[in-house]
Amino acid sequence: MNNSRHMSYWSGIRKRLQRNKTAMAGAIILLVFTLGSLLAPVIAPHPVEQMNFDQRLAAPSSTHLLGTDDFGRDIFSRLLHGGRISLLMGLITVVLSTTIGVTLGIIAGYYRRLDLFIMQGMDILMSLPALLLAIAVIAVLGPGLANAMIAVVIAVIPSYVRVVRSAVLSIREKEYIEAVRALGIRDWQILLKHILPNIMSPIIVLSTIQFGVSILAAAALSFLGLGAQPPMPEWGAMVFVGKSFLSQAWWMSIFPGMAIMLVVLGFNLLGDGLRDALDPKTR
Amino acid sequence: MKDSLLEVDDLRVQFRTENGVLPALQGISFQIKKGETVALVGESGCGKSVTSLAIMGLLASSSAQMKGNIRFRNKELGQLGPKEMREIRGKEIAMIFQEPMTSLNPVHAIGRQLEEVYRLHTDLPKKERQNKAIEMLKKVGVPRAEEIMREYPHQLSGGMKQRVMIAMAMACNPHLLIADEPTTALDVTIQAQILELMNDLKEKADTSLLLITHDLGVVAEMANRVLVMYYGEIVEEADVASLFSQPLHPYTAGLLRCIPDLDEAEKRRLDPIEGSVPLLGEVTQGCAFRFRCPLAEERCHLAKPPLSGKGTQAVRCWLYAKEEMAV
Amino acid sequence: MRRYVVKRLISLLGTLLGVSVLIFLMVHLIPGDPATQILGQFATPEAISQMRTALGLDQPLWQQYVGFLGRLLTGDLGTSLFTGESVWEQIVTRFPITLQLAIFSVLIAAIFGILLGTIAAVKQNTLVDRFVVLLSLVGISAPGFWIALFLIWIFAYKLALFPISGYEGVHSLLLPAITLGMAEAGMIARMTRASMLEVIKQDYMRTAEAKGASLVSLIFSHGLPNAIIPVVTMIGLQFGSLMAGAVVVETVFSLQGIGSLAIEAISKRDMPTVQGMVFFMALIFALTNLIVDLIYSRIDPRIHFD
Repeated sequence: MNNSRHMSYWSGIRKRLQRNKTAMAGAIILLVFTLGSLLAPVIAPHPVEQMNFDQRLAAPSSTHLLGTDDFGRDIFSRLLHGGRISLLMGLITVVLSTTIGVTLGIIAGYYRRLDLFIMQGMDILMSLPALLLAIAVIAVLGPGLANAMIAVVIAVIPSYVRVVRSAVLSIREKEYIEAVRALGIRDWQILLKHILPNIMSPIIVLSTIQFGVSILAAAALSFLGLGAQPPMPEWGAMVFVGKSFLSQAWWMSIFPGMAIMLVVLGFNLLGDGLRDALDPKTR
Repeated sequence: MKDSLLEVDDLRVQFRTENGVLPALQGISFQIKKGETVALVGESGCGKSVTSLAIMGLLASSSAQMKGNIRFRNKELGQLGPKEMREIRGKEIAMIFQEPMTSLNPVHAIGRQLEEVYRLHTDLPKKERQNKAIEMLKKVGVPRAEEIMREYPHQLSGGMKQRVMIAMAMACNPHLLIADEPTTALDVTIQAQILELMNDLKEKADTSLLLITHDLGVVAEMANRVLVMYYGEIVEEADVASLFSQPLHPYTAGLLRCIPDLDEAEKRRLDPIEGSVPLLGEVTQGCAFRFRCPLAEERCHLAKPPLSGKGTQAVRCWLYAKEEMAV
Repeated sequence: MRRYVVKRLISLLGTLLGVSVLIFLMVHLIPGDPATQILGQFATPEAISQMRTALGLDQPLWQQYVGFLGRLLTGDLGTSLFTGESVWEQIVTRFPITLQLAIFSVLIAAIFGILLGTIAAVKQNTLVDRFVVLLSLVGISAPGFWIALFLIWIFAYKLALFPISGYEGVHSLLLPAITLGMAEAGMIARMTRASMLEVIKQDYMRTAEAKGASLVSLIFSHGLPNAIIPVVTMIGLQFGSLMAGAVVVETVFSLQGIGSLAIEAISKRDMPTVQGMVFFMALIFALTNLIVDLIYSRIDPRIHFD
């Protein structure tokens, strides 16, 4: 692939992406949340852990935009800080699961001998619904934020392996790969230079969607008391605490849940848009 | 001859697309008489299928704009409401499509699809409808009709499917049958059988046939009259004998040269017209065929040729406009 | 057909064998000494050695597995470390609620999803279409526990229409089922829409129109039976995930199903119960996939299993 063609390929995608309202809406949502959590220390109206017992369970007002919790802590400020945890958690799980999943997928697709072995393993993992698999992992490792992340990574790996493997299978028989192989170029170079660039599109789309899925799963685990533990301002854990105060202070659970929903929606919108932009054939 | 069944007068169709408004039909007029077979010929992209869909009222109203008149049995089709139009479709005007492989619904049994025509257009009870359907299948030469009723499209061959399509179209003895390339997708041997079947049925039911095809061999065999279309216009109209013995329009002449002559196949080379039909909207003035015409002159670039009559034939070409002026 | 079912059953057994290894290893993968981990730092040495025997940790690994598999094959999933009840017994008593919940929510999701997806496809690129597309994406993106709390807040607290939690008959399953079905409905609507858009373009739809069929008959009698084929597959394949989602919903609504059983077991590190649960879910998951395949052959006449 020569350089100028490469450039025009990506700029074409960028143009299609910019014209795609769905993708742009998703990108804007994510940008707002990313900026909000990055700048949390600056823009948060109240210190995160500042308790104020006079202000316990205060309804949303001008001083406390989204109200306060059972310790009088400002929910908006906690949401801003919690965004760091959720987004970072999503990022780490996506990076880990993409790396492992893509590696396994490429190996399965390229080295036919290992294929059966890897896919058998994936079949066993996929014989359980992802959330149950994650819960089983936590049953072994014990609750906690780090373990929840490991659980989510293990639960989403099979979907990467499947997608990457079938993408590799479809191009490994193509003539140019045969030609490169005939030149005596080493396997790892073929994989890195010729196969990986050609399967980037499905990987990017899948990673975007999985980013949202991971955040959702990690939040669900925290809500079940298996992931991040209160008083950490993780969104799922905040909903978990707020659940007990639903009748008195709906804002304690509804707002953090809404934050999760919006971020996941952002990733889903962006993923949909990317799919359209990267694969002009569909639609 | 007999009375006129269908009169199309200055029919214009435009498609609204992202690339602007595209003229698909630029004012075509023709008649079909009772019991007559009229062939509509031309390469793909000439507007043959659009013409048939316009008559059926099947053009999507969201993207297609229609002007002009279509009179069918003294009714103005454009003025009918959707319900009245549905009553005509399938009953008085029926249609057979090019692709028998995909034109039947894969999840419904043949019997159900055939019987549906009677359900839509008659008050017959179910038992009666089924008997009619079986009878119709036998008429179109489907063996084991009772069993086929329960079978699904994927279990039938292409030829059999087209027979079923014909059975569906002829179920209510329509006044007009429109057949859009009915044999193009079929094997040569099956083609002849299907054409013979259609001819047979239309004779018996006194149905008029509008046959859309690009195959002049089929035209010679089936048609009484021929309309040659190019770029959304009728460029020549003639009875079948005149057309083959004395084609007027250079395009018609070109099409005739494309027919492989069985007797002289070895002597004559197939001589297709070079180039292809311009894309819709590409030609804004002059004769649309001039780019491919061996006889194009300067005036062909400047203005659209008028329709000139010559005996029983009519042609849209400057060559004949000249003669007319000279006379 | 029969041969196909037998073949599928054999591959199902293979998968379950793999799962049995996986859940067997669960205990051994616990970091540190499992018995100590389960009982905590302050357990007496006797208690720990008792626990080791209870878990079978005193035998060689392969022997443990053979014993484990043997018990599994006879339907013995072990006994709970805490209640002393048979795990199988616990699952069987609590499964009906989860099953009801799952079926109920699949029905709700299918009805709304297919209807909305079809309307969106027929009205493609209109405001209605865009609204359905956004709504289904919101359904997919919203966390189940949040939807649950939202519904409780509105319908139970604000409007006092439904019981807040617990099982007091089938009507107390309505809110949980809606919660559980929300994401499913979103996915079904998206898929139905995409599938229907594909079907509308097909030649046989034009044939039906040329016959004089009405718009309603065109959509529901000619289009939908074709469009629904991939949707039914997805619904079936999602059924297992739906039951896993019951973990969250049962917890929020305090329903005594197998989802809440799993959470209780994990928080107490009741490994036999967790193992039994996981195995049971894998079995249900595999069986539903098989059933989906068989249903598939009923609705698509082109498919035949030989």
